[in-house]
Amino acid sequence: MPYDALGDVSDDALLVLFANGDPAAARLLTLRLTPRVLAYAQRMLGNRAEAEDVAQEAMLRLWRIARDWRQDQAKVSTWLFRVTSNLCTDLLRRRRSVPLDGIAEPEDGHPGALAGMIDQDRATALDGALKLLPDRQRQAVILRHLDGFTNPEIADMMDIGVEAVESLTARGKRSLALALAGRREELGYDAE
Amino acid sequence: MTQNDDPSAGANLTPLPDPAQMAADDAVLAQFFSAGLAQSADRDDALMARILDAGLAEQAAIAAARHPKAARPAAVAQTAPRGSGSWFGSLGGWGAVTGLATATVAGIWLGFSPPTGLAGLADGVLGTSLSGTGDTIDQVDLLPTFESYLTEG
Repeated sequence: MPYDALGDVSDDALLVLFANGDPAAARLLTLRLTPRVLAYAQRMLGNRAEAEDVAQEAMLRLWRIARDWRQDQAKVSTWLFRVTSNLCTDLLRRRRSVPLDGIAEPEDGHPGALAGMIDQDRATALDGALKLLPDRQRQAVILRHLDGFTNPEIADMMDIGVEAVESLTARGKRSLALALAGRREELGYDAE
Repeated sequence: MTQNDDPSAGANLTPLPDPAQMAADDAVLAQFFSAGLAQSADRDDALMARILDAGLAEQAAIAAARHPKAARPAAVAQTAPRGSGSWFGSLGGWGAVTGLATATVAGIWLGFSPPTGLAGLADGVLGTSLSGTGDTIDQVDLLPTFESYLTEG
């Protein structure tokens, strides 16, 4: 099938085309999903190299499940983010088992405070504040507010109830608001 | 167990913020989430190429698993001419050899058991009489004797 004709096709239908050998479906799924899982993994892990490994492994697992995929079992994106979440959680657990001296310093991507509050700065500030959250809160907030999943979808990914998702996101946002409110003051946000 | 090890960490241990507080938090965070959404995801062409290559390889594996015979014709074509198949093929294959075998069996059968009337036919065609000589058709001398060539005339 021509590549251009697939623009409006859902991820789930693309995965069926993929399993039927359509190379255009493979290209489009790669282009659509890889940046999303890479960005999600990077926000969860705060480390680019680890995020790339996780994104690649998650996509490889998607390719491998394609031949047995049943369209009624889940959405492709939900399944993929669940796999990515599990891979990130495993990495974070392993990381905590490493002595503190062995952990590299987090990347400090914050631009100078006087650089102005352009979107890039705000996004960077958000990423910095997300790193301060407990893993589960960070995961729920990212999935809900940056990846656009519904609470039931997140509940499915995280193996918890919808109410627990609401609780995690509310607490996560409370902590984020406190952290970023401090930065707003420091950077003169209130003048906007 | 740390908070991060517990799957329900942060979900049930403390009360939810009150609704007014949650609304205030949303107001503070709205511009940050908006900025995060607008931030274009880093495009990593090398990573995308590795993932796509793996996908195309998986597609080939799926196709091979679904149509195993489609992958074999080349191997069959290579093995066919070997061994006794070479002389067999030079005769024209099964069709030609079957015809040859049929003709051979028919010739042997006619030799042992000539059909009725064949002797009379031989008399007429060859000008040789088998009748009353006691000879059978296989005993008829179809070549003239050498003396015949010596006869002057």
